[in-house]
Amino acid sequence: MDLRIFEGSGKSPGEACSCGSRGGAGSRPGMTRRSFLRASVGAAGGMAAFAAAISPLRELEAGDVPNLDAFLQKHYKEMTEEEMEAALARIRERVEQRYHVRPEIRDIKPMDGVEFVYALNLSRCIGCRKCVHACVAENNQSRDPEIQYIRVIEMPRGTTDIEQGDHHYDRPRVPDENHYYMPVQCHQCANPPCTKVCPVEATWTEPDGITVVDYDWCIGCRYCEAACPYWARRFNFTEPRLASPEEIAKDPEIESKRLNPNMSYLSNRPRPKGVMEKCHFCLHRTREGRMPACLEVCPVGARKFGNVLDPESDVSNILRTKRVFVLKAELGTLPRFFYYFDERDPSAEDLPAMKHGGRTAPAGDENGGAS
Amino acid sequence: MSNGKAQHHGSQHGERSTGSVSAWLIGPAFVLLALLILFVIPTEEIPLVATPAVRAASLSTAPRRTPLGDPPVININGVDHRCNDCHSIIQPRDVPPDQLQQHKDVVLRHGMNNRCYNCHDEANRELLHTIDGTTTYTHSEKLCASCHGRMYRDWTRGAHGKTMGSWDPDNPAFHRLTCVQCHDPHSPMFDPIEPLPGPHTLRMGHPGSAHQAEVRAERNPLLQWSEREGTGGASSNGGHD
Repeated sequence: MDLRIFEGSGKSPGEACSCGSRGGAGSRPGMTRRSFLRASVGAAGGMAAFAAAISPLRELEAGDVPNLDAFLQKHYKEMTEEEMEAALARIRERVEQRYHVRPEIRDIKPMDGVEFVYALNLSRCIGCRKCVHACVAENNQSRDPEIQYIRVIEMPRGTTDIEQGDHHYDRPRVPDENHYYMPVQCHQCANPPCTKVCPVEATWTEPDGITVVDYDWCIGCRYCEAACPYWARRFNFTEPRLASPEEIAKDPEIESKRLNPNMSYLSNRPRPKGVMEKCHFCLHRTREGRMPACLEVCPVGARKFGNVLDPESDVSNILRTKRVFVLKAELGTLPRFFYYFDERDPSAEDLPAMKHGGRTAPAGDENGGAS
Repeated sequence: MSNGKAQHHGSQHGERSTGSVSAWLIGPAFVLLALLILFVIPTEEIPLVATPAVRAASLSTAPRRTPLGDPPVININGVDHRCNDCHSIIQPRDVPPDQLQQHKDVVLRHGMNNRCYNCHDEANRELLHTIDGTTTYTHSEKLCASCHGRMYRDWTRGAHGKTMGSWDPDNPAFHRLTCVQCHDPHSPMFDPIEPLPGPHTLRMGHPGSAHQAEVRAERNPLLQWSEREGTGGASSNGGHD
């Protein structure tokens, strides 16, 4: 059919196609309209891509160019102790140069016989977002633009459908009586989709269950961000910005933008531009026995953390005795982050004395004061 | 078709030498263009929204309350008093809390538990009165357990309450906050509080949000940018991410 359309123009085959000869036999026959368009579109596309690719060079500062040692730095798992020390020394120098703070940076290895698990009591969470900001302050996330690991979703009561949730809620007071609050952060999956898609193995799961990123190995392809079903990974589109002590001295209001000097290689050291980052259960704290920052700041005690291999730990008790669930269980990611509810006392709300103020409660009766 | 195609190819073959010259011209032209874009034409950064600062006090990890010690001491008009300083002399009747002559600062909102002597020991005011005896102020959780048995059970297991210091029960820093370090025993429910600011990522504005108009005007840098440029083309950017 196509042939007929071409031939139906009434011209001879030669006239139809040798467009370049229209200008006369003497004009430049080498460049037909088609070849010109093809070449120019291709070249324009190529040049635009080239310009876009090299445009970050415009923002390059002298300190940003890696020296040969940094360029040849190996993958975290392949570094010897001396090489790690050299890498840490480079980071120390760079942080001091940039933020005028001498960091306490080290590489902390996982503890034997420890597997970390998080549990969160949804009956308690009030959605105050203190965990979000304590995490930011602890982990040296970029402040401008803002990167947050924890997303608190305000959910209508009666559903667990995340689609109905809203994490931009902006109320004068929380909690709202018609909603409950569900903080989501990295679930440190036992079957993580994010590490499988990494083309350079810059992210992996450590023996204590924490999925980490080697920020110096990450190439910033963001495959892991796309693979994560919990929206737990964040990308540094710009160089992370924090406040230096001088800036804070000028403006005490920005105290919370101060750099936290307690850092480790795999957790909260300042990230370079163009790499992924994520929650790492505050491994520079938890691998030394301490609690994560988000837990310690929680004003209602909704957050629980511990070693699931220890049968007497808080989280082991919760997994044994509470009704726990994981988010998007159907995906088979096997999260190490569990949600649970308190069981309600069904009689508590029906007690008329609760509302109108009666006499002494019968001894041993559990009444509604608990909630 | 095949006929025309063959002819077209033929003409290309014949004119390869002149064609490659023009390609050589196109190349440098676009390199020049790229350099122009790179170094001469100014680019405007999309403005970032200033992140609101969070006061350090709002991120305090200290317990909400400092409970009374043992023996309990309260400060009245700048003078420290022990309970029995007064109550060894005065023995008030068991009246409803709204008829109290003293301790008027106490707000009692504890459900049906609305009598002083339900919890305070009538004989010795420096002790607390549990279901089966007395306990000191430093072990007030025994009193709470008299009624809130399930909460107490959960607290001893770490499912309720707050464990601080360490996640490892064998670590000396491991400790659990007691009931009254968080809850006011007279009105144990927490009051609603002001939440800290939400995410200020680049794209802002939730379609269902009541504050959408403000959010879009103030916080969406793409919208700010497009409005200033007068394009208005980013009006569809209010979608959630």
